[in-house]
Amino acid sequence: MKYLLVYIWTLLVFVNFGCQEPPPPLTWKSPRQEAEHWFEMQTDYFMGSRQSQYFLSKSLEADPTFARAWMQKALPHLQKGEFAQGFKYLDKAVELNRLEYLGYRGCAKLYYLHDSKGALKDLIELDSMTPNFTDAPWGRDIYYTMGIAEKRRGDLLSAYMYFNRSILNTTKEKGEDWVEVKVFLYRGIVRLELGDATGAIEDFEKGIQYFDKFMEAHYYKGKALLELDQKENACKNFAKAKEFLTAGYSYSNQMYSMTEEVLMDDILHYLNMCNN
Amino acid sequence: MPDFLIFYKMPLCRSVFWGAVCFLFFSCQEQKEEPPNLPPYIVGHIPYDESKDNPDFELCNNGYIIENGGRRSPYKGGVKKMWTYFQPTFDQLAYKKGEDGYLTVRFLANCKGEKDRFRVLAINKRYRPKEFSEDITTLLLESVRNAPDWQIASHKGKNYDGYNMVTFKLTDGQVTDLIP
Repeated sequence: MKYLLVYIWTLLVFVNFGCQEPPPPLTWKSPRQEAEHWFEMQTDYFMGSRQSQYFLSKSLEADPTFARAWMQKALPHLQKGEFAQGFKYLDKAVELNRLEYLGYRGCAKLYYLHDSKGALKDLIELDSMTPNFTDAPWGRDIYYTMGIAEKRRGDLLSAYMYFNRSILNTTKEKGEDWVEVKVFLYRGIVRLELGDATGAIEDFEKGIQYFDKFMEAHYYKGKALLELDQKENACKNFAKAKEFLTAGYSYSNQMYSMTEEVLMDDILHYLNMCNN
Repeated sequence: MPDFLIFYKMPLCRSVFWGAVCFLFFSCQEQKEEPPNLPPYIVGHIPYDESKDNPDFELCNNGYIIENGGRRSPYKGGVKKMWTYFQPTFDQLAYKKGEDGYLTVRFLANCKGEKDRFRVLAINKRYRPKEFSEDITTLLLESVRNAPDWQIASHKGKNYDGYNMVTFKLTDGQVTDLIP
């Protein structure tokens, strides 16, 4: 009988308290502790949802100096074209923690608004704040992003210099196979635009060496070969680009347009020329 | 078997045990209560406005709207085709000193490809809210409204309602860039 009572009692206790989240403490050790609690709550919901907005507001009410919450609040606005609000919140995050969020703001300026000048200002400042360290805003080597910004601005030599730096630094620190293949692609495109088709082909081939289904590299290699009057070889590369794009191999991003995006129409344009 | 588990062998106790487990499971499901005073909409939602929108415009998926998703480019043929389509509009814009910034047109396209709920969001070069002159706004808005090749949002072969947008970068009233 004693065991039966223990058994039932244990079950009741388990049922009553087992799954309940610990209630928030009535008194917080600090405003930041409360802000982090509400910030954690919003992670259960998708970005920009009503619940996420609510918990982020609670977080910032508790501690308006919590940069991470400002940053999180900015993201859905930026992705949905509400740039005034997005940058207002992102600026706040940068003001509170410059080192942490300057790189993100630079990338947002570059990719959402094609504001190369504004992006470079942030990225150059970030780079100067961290000597002997290669930052990686948005998960990419900072020199790669700076190269993209310079290319968009039309300064091909600076773009080449940054892509070069990105490749050399990564190769020196970790080995060439750690270089993101897109850096080879962009350095190749810049070389091609600077009139160095042979150098460009070396870069495209390097990209293909590390990722053989690199559709964009095949496409631009085809263009470079055309510059060198190697039509037959160029057409083989356009055919490969078509094959890989049909199979779904392409770099794309739903949230912002890809620089130098290659579409099927572009490839077909050259393939038609090959057939004539 | 330990003594205290002996009751698990009794049918009644076993039922109580599993009943408790089920209760625990379902009560846990109900733990997530909606917080009070939620904001009315998700970020980026465009609610119906009877002063601007077509009352006959219908959504297909019961309010489930995809954000610019499920496809590579929001416009058939990508950015290059967009430039081809919009260029004649850009050519009509007069030089206007100080009309600098970004003008975004955001709208809804339903699963049938019909478009409505167009909204203009504009910022200056410092990313603060701005109003462009009416002729610029109207010309660009109408051009987006009439563009024939906006893609329908789709996922796994099924069409959905979706948001689309395009941003025009302006310097002295001239469009210098187009960002899908």
